[in-house]
Amino acid sequence: MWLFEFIPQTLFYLLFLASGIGYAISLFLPNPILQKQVKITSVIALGISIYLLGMLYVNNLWKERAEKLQQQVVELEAKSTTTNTEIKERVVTKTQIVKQRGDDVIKYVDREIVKINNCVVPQEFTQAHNRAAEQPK
Amino acid sequence: MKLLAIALILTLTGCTTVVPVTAKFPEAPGLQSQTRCPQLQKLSDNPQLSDVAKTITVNYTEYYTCAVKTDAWIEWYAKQKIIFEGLGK
Repeated sequence: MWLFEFIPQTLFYLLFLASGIGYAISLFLPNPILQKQVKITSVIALGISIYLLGMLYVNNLWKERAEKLQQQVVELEAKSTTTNTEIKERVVTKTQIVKQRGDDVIKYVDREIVKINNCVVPQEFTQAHNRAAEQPK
Repeated sequence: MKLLAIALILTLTGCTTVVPVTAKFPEAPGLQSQTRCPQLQKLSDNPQLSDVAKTITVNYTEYYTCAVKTDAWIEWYAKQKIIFEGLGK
């Protein structure tokens, strides 16, 4: 609440105290008109101060909760980063394994399959393969 | 009356609560996971048996590389969800 950022908190307690004292003083004032005026002013001020003190309490409660939550966010962000690093490392390792396996098979093809290259691959086979490899639109 | 209205507005706007908690969106699991899966290779016209074997191998490799990325995103989502749901508990 911006109201509490600009106005010192002590002022709310002072207003509460002053309105209480004002009300007490009003009981001993000899002039009835002045007594009524001071009493009304004190009661209004007392009401406002109680309201503001209540708001101040709620504001401080929220602030405290927000600080705790922010602290938790920082901790969870660190946890999230650690998890990401673990996943990242796993992706790199697994990709290397997959690529290595692919390279090994290609080496095998170059070494062994070339020996039986004399057979003809039917056109239908090529077409079927290419249709399956095509990205869906 | 005008002063009262101004005072009332100021008091009411003063009651608005902005909770100053900010959380960053979790990072992606590496640059490698952010690259799109490539298109599969096709056979050339009148290929030799070794070309067919190579193309199929390359395509399988691409598939498994892509599967690693997808698995990473699945794991990322599951773990980040657990972390996110831990907030406020």
